[in-house]
Amino acid sequence: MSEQTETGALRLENVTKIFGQGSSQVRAVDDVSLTIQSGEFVTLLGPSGCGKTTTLRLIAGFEFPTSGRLLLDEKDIANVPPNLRPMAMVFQSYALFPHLNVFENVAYGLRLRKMPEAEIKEAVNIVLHMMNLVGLERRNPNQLSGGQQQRVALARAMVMKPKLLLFDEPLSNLDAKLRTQMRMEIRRLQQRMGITSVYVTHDQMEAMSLSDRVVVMNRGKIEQVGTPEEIYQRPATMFVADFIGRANFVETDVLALDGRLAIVDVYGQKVQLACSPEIRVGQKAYAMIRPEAINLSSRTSNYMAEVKTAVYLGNSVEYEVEIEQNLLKVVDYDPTPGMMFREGSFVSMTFDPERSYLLPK
Amino acid sequence: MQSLSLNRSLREYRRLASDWTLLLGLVVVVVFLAVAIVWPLLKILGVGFSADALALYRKYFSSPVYLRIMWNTVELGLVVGAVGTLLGFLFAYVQVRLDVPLKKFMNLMALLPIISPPFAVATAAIVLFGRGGLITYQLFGIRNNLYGFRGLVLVLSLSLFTVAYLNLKGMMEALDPALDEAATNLGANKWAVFRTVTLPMLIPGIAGSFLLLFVEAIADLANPLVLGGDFTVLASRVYIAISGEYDTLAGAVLSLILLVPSLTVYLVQRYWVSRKSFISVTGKPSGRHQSIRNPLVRWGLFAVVMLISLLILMLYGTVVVGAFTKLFGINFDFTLANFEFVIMGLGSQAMGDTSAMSAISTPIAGLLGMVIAWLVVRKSFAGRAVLDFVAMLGIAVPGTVLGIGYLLAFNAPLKIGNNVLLPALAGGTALAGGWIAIILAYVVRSVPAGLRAGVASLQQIDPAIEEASISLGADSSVTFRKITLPLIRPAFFTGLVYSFARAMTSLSAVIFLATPEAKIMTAQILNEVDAGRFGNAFAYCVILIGLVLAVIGLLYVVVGTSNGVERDLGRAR
Repeated sequence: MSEQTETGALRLENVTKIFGQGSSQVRAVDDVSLTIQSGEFVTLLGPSGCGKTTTLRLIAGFEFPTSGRLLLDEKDIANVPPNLRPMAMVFQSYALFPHLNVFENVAYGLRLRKMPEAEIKEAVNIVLHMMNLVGLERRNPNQLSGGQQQRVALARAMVMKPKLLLFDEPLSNLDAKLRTQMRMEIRRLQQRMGITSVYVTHDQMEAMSLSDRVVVMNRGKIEQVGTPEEIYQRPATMFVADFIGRANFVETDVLALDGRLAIVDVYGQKVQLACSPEIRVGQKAYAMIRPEAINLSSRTSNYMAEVKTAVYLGNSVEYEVEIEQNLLKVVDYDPTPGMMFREGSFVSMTFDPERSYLLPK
Repeated sequence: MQSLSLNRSLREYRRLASDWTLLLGLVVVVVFLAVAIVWPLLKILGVGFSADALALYRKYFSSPVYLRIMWNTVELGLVVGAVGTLLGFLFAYVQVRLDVPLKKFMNLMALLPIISPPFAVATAAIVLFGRGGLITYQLFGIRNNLYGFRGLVLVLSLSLFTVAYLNLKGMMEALDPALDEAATNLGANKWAVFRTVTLPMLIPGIAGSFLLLFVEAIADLANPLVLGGDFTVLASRVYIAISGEYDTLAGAVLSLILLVPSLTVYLVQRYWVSRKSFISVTGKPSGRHQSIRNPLVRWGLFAVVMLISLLILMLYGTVVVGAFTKLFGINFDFTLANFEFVIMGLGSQAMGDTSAMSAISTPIAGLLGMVIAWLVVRKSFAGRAVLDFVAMLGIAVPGTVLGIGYLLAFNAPLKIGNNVLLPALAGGTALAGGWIAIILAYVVRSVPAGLRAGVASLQQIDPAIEEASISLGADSSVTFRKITLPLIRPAFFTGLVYSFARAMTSLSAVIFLATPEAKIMTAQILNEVDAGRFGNAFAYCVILIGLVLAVIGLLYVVVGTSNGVERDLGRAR
């Protein structure tokens, strides 16, 4: 498989896709540029309608860009029809051929390549073995469980040894437990085969656990590209901060700036926060504070907050507290038994500046 | 922006054109529709709006005789629409909601009219319930006058209600039983559930069925010809104008008058009522409905539907018995003379010609239907809604209107200067003895059924399945052959069955196109009925039904699976 690590580098240059005509035009993908290294696992993440699926379909060739270039290993593929692109796609609905059995589903693409029968058999058997599908060759898709169908869809794509694997929300039809399991399986296979992969999802857990890099999209545009840690800890925009995990935003003034550190005033206390490069002194800004970065205690201090709601979840307790007319979300991941704060009680509040970030307004 | 969008549609077409199979399919479809539908309709419009024609409109709309004919037509449409829909509703309700014996039998009786030739029911009704009818006169001594409005309503309702039945049955099966349960849970009794939940949900289906039956009833030619008596409708008046008075202009004008309500009601049904539907018919029954337990309702409905089923059985039984009888009702001696006439005698040419022309048109119509459906559902190009609409005109336009259009368009060769662009396809000097025009008419009338079945079937199939095939390296034509066609095989089968049955039994669209070299069975049946030779007519009907059933059986073996045929037939209209 070593030759595959050399190829499969994909570059999108100012790709735009407009649907519809005249006044009903929709810019589904708006001036997107992105470089994906060969062997990399990249996830397109965003809410529904953000353009992530359209981007994937542009890469696959099911849609053609209105403008912009698409380069695979530095060759422009924008006008190559989808059946001639060296890519294989795993669909949300699996899209197994209902009139063909498991073996024939997996063999379909190889037969189109006119591969000799013996080689087809060998290749299909290897993939079925790898995907734990041995013994199901003669079954029809409707006789398989959801997880098995998913694995056949994966096998059918893998057997083609594509330069690029495309995933369109492949796990969204599975139950939570199976989803976690398949997630790990996909990651393991991708690492072993070293195939460049583009994965579309709206599930941040999936994106975080699978990807080398995550591309967060909103309204057809890229909001941020980064490793899972980067997008969680150093979100580029309020949208990213809010979409990845949960966040509180506290409005504040920027008092001083020292490189990428800013001094701000949060509820009367001066703290030093890591900040976005767009932050300027004297501007208003938002301190992004993750719920788990806030600490509540029964001591009295200058920051007294009122507990509005308290929800016990077993391994954690979730609070909403009010301070200066703002509601803040707080999560306590390590609650001391019997020490839950009651609704209506007053608590003192501190937060960890290390786990917070300053964003421009 | 303007140039950008123009650029985009140009690119759309270029992309379509780069796939030669697709381009070929599109060109074939467009040429076919232009020649077989658009051109004849334009011809009839041209004649219908000429200066001579305008004088005729004035005459017709001020003459009490003609106003009477127009009112007759509408009245017949309204009453048949109502009665037929009621029949369809009762049959469907019994099938879906009642736990009673003999449901299969009742289902069969409701489906029988699909393969039945015109005249079969009408002729049987005459010999059973007419002036000298076996039941009315010989049993009860009543000189019943069946000819006219009442007879037409009876026969047309019994012949056409299948559409309403299949439509409403599909809808009732798709109704979520949870809705009934929710209403019951909120305190509604069975009657209240029916009145406040079931019925309102079915209103679009009921309205749609009514409108479709209206269109079919006013377009029908066969029954008014043999049963109309003094009760003349537009379709039969058109026939008299062309066949009796040789007045093509009057025929064209009258058929345009008929076209207006037909097309209007059809369009209302298709683009308005069907959109109002709350229920998407997926073909999957969505759970088990609780059957109605009230014995009065249960056995009352059972009795009504059973009686109607028995009436249908009796009518078709009469056709079969009559075919083997010297003179039904008077001389019941067994004879094979009727069949001899049809198979070996004077009638055999019509049988052979009609079967051959139907056999040729069937695969053409079936395949065209699937290709148009595929283009309309799966491909994006400007004008695909127009394509769908024009293809559907084949059924929306009454057969008599289409027939006159063909007469006008194909009786003389189409010339530009002195060059013959298209030789005459119909009439005495026609190419291939007039076969081509008749086959074209058969195809045009049959394509819509396959098209609707194909569209419905394709919409059920996840487009990702075809994309998966393309992503694995197959082009459009391989994908259509290896993936799409196998998946829509039931719809394809429906299209073929329907095409053959429709061609064999069609009368109105082709009666003006028959030539000595291209004889049509249904037209022969009309002659026999007119001459009072009911035995020969019955024999024709039996053979026609037999041929259609045999071909359905053959198709079943060749194309396989009949899964969902019934359902698709319901959607086919």
